[in-house]
Amino acid sequence: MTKRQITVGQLFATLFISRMITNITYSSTISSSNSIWDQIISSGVAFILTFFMIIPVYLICNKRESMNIADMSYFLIGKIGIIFVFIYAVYYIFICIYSLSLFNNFVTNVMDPNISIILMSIAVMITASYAAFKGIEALVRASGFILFLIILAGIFIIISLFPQINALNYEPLMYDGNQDVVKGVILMLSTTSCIPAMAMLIPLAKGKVKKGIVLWNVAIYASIAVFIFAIVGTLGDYVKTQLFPVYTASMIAGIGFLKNLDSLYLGIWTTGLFIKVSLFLLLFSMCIKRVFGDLAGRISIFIGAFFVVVISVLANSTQYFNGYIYNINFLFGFTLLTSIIIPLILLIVDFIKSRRRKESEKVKL
Amino acid sequence: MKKLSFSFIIVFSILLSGCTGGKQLHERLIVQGLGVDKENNLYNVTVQFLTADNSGEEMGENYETISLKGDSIIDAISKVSNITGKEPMYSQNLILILGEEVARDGISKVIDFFIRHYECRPTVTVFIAKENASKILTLEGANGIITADKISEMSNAQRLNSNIIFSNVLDVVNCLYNNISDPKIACINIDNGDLVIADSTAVFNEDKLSGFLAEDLSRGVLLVSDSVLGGTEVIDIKGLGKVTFNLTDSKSKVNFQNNYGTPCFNINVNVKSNIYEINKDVNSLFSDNYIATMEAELKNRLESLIYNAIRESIFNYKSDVFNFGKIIKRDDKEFFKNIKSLKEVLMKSDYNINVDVKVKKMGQERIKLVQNIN
Repeated sequence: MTKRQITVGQLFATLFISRMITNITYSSTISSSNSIWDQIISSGVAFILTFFMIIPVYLICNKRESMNIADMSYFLIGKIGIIFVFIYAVYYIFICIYSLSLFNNFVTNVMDPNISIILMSIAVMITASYAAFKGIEALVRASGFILFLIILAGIFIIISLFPQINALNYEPLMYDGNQDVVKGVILMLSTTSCIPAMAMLIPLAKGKVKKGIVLWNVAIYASIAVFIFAIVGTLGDYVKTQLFPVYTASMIAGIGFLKNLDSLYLGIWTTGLFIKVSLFLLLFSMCIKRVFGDLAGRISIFIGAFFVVVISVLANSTQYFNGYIYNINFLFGFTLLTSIIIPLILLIVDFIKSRRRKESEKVKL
Repeated sequence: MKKLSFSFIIVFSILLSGCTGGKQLHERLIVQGLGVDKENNLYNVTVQFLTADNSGEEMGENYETISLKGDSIIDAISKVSNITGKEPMYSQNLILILGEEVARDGISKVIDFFIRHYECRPTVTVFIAKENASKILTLEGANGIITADKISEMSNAQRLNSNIIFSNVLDVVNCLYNNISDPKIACINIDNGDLVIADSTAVFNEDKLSGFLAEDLSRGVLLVSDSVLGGTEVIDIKGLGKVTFNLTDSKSKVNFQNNYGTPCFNINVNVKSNIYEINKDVNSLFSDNYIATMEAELKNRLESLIYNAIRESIFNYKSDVFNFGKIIKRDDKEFFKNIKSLKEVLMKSDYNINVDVKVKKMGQERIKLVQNIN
């Protein structure tokens, strides 16, 4: 059982930052598609589908106030519920690994191949562990400030790109069929790791959750659409040659003497990465705490961080691990499992149990 | 816990110190300009770089140039360390000059480094040297070496004069990658022995240089591409003498339609102009509606520039520097899907050109100082 410690606004600000990190690393390489422009349609489709994806988590979190998905698993299916809690714990750690290894990939390919990935990963994870150790309240307070900076930097980059847009870079939508739209939808939905995060965090938030969800979803997909519009309009087909097109767009952005805004992009990514990894480490520790108790939960932050460093460094040095981490179908399946399937199973169990209870109450009467 | 935190701080302040293994500025070779030529199947890369003072504390405006040979661009450039003992830094590079031979051989072979290398920026301005790139980068002007930043600043000429087309790596790669439109790159030349001047635009057929467009034809291309922001046109008008038009702005709209099997482009351009130089007293000509006459003359001139630019680029050089292919794809994607040879379609197409000219301002001279200069 948990008490409400944060506001809905703080919760969705933190989740927005967490998702923005995925948005700015948007890459057609990960989705194996040829046309990023087609994925502006994907953003519209994914926007609607995300609402549907949230419904099971929203319903399960509203079933019994102050119980998160881990509590509900235990409450509804007893000790077998440990399997679900374990799945969520693995998912949260996997998202940390995915985020850190993507950052490592970026640094070694785009920044400087000589940077020590091991030391950088350790530094990121130590700061993230510290933030996770401080708890959700400290984390969301930091998020508020970081969100302000991220929005400011994002708006500045986008505004400075708009004068450089060439209308001829926008080719007819779905010129080569709809496969790029489908790939885009899968990529966008599979990176919606915030829904499984909501399954743990909504019970901690006080306020109008529905309003928060709507605003969060609108902001997320509006920002994706604006990013796609800006990078395709400014980069054209050059976008297809780039691993991280949003970063490339930030390199050509500039207003007046303020040129080469890639440093702003780096600022957004590093601060956002800190929030995202801290948040998912905290969620991991909440799962461990539910199973093994408070002390284990605290220690698990550091153990989790250790695994994240080891696996993300391995992923950066071998293609073998890369294949699993950036396998979009695997990520999609994992996200569906934690966003829809497990909450749905719990809802069904709850429905059956409450029906039985009502029937037995009727019999007693 | 405090002891643990303290140990972490001590350990990581040693391990994570940002300066460990870092390079001082005087240990880096700050590349400002690169020139690529081809000699005996080897690339001859000329590197113009800034050098710091020995102390490394102050950066002087000292430029040096070194030429190196190699099998690839990076193979040649890496040899610069053998001479200077410094590691090249490309993030401050401003220009890339390709020799005419490299351009005729195909620029795809040399551009990869500028897309792939983590320090290279897509905003680097690309030039074609009519002779070879190393001559431009090593040229001694009246005030010392012609520096890369001065050459880079030439790209402002497109905004100011609109008679040369400047492109950066991003524009060039865009054209090379989409396989529809062809690159167009400013061409620079040595003038009067000690000046570097942009005097024409190099146009390509796919990645190979196919010819040069003179200044007036380059303006024709820019008019179609909606990119004329300045420049002058001098027209000798009967009854008015020499009139100098200052072009201030242009807006173009190009549409494609398939007229029963005949592809057709409708090119509509609106141009605004001011007049600040006329060599005749025009005040006496008010009754003759001389402004309409001027507008008609400028319209004819600009229409002929566009027509000649299309003839030269499409028919002579087989180069689509107007993005006509993209316009077909935008306006009639079914027709575009069935195209076997885009260049043949463009050569069979009709081009309906219409330029609408508005003379906005005539300057503040009321009565001409000297009457009727010829």
